[in-house]
Amino acid sequence: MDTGIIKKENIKGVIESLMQMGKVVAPTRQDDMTVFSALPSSEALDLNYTNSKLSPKDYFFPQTEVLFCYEKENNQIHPPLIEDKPACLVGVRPCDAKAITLLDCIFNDPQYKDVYYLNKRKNTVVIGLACTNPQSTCFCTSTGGGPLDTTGMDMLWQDLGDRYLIKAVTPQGKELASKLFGIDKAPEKDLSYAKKQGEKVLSMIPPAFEAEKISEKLRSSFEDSVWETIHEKCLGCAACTFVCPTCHCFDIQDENSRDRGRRVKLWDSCMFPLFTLHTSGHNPRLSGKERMRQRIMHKFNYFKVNNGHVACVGCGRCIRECPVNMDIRQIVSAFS
Amino acid sequence: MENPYLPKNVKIEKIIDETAGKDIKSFVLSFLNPQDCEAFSYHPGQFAEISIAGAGEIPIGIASSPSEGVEVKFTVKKMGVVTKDLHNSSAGRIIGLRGPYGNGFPMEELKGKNIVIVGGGFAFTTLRSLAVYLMDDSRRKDYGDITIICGARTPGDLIYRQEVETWASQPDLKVQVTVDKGNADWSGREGFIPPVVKEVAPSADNAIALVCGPPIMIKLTIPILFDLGFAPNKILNSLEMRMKCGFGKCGRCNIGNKYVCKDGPVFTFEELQKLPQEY
Ligand SMILES: Cc1cc2nc3c(=O)[nH]c(=O)nc-3n(C[C@H](O)[C@H](O)[C@H](O)COP(=O)(O)OP(=O)(O)OC[C@H]3O[C@@H](n4cnc5c(N)ncnc54)[C@H](O)[C@@H]3O)c2cc1C
Ligand code: SF4
Ligand code: SF4
Ligand code: FES
Repeated sequence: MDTGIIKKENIKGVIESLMQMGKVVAPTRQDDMTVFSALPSSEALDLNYTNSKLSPKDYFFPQTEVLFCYEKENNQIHPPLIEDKPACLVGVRPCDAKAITLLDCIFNDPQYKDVYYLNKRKNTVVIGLACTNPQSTCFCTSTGGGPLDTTGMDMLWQDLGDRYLIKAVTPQGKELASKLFGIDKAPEKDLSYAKKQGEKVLSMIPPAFEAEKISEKLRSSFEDSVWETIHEKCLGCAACTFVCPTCHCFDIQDENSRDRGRRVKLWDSCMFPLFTLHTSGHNPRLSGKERMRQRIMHKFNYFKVNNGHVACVGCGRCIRECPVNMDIRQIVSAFS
Repeated sequence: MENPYLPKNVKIEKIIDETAGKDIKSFVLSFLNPQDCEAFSYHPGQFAEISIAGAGEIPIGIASSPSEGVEVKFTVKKMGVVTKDLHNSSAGRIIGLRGPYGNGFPMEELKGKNIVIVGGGFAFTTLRSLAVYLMDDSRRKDYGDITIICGARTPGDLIYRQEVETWASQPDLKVQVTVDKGNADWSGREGFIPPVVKEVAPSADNAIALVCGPPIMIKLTIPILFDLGFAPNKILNSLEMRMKCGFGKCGRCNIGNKYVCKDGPVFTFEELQKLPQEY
């Protein structure tokens, strides 16, 4: 079945059967924030949210992840059990689902596979949730997305008020749909209502810039004088990169306790001066100017050249969380 | 699926003091597990991550040549946490190694060419790997003239000094060694590398130049090579950036859209001209 309906009164049952198949990671309310976490029970699910504070990338690429434990003596390494149990991510907004496909470009490149990421990724079904209530900071339509975009999803759910319209996207999504829900067939009027709703939401997110054009313009803008001033307000706190669903830079550190310890992989940021500091003292990105330029150039030019898509999905988190109101839309628009 | 983050254990077989100041040492390593040894198949110009549980990991160019056998050599300058820990080792210690990484020198392209090697200071390590590889009896005939110009600040700073002196006596090599400032027991050349390159004036005909060293040496040597007729795509350079993963994931070693760990560390000067000047 490709499309179907779940009535909201049945959603708990659906989540419970998903939980029987494996871990379900979904939006929950915690301290006034919506965050993705493993559901302890179907009650904890909260699908009435605009978007989560942090993106669900943390599930595949945790903020800190143990690569292995060791004993210093004789360099004894104890590889971890790498999680590969089936799981389901539920309620992922289209921008964040698309971001997962961009992380795939890095962690699943043909030459080197990040097994920690991939073992979870290949055993996880992604169920998306169409966007019905975009925020003023959303700009997915400027970066090739949209409220009904299914990139990165196995299945899309769309909130039609008292019911969800279900659309299976991939073979895995179809299989799940047939296994799971005694889904009612979607009536024609629901399909046409869903389409109209999508169009309405789309019209609420007018494109802020043309990513293609900006990407091309940036190619020859490394020395542009815009960089001299555009970073001036920035504090270098790196909040923008930590909340970003596509940022994937990390550090590797050893955490010791006496004669043993663990090597961890942890989020890092190009907005920090230490990121590129050589031991000799040389630093190719000395000031905020070079670091802001790296962040923007990487997202809108380098990543595009290497992987065919800009590394921004327009989720707007960096705009919402920046303590000094830096707006990435304005920054890139300086190059339009 | 192979886990690329896991180091393989190696034993430090031998530690060699390379300089008078004792701040640069070579470490000769052998794999504990024969399968790891076999999987570590490398060519000159590549690097590896040396890993010490509890201290961390560092990218270091491979100084040995695969033609020398199964032991792998690295020449390391004492700098910070990991390099100091390594320098405090004694032979027999078990540490970790993962790699090899990077593109290395374009060995196919070097075939049939005259080779000009210019190395300053301890950046000479991977060039040593290359020189030994080219001079291997089974391969020497595949290459034309080989010219090696190397140097250091003082005679005490010259790494691989004895070995380079034996090269100098080989008839099929042109070797020039120079120091910025000599001392009582130095009878060789004195002076910076760039003027020596100018004086030796290796022909650019069917030739490739490989240049590694401190940024200032590279900056001054390149125009001399241009004057000698070397095209930008016939001059190769090995770069350093701060690194963590070594295989294009952690995102810290990029220059423009290129990752130095994965797309480099060896680039032609022509490639570098097209990249942002941010290294
Ligand atoms: C491709 C390549 C080849 C190299 N080859 C050699 C060599 O043959 N011999 C040699 O002595 N040195 C070499 N280096 C430099 C060497 O990696 C650094 O000196 C070393 O990482 C310093 O680590 P530390 O722990 O002593 O210093 P700390 O400052 O304590 O370093 C902390 C961490 O920062 C990172 N880091 C700091 N400086 C550098 C740097 N310049 N390059 C890369 N990572 C850095 C490392 O991840 C290190 O673990 C090479 C670097 C690269 C990129
Ligand atoms: S750069 Fe900002 S808007 Fe774009 S994906 Fe990252 S957090 Fe979202
Ligand atoms: S969140 Fe704002 S202030 Fe902080 S690093 Fe990003 S742009 Fe700069
Ligand atoms: S060292 Fe991690 S990307 Fe190059």
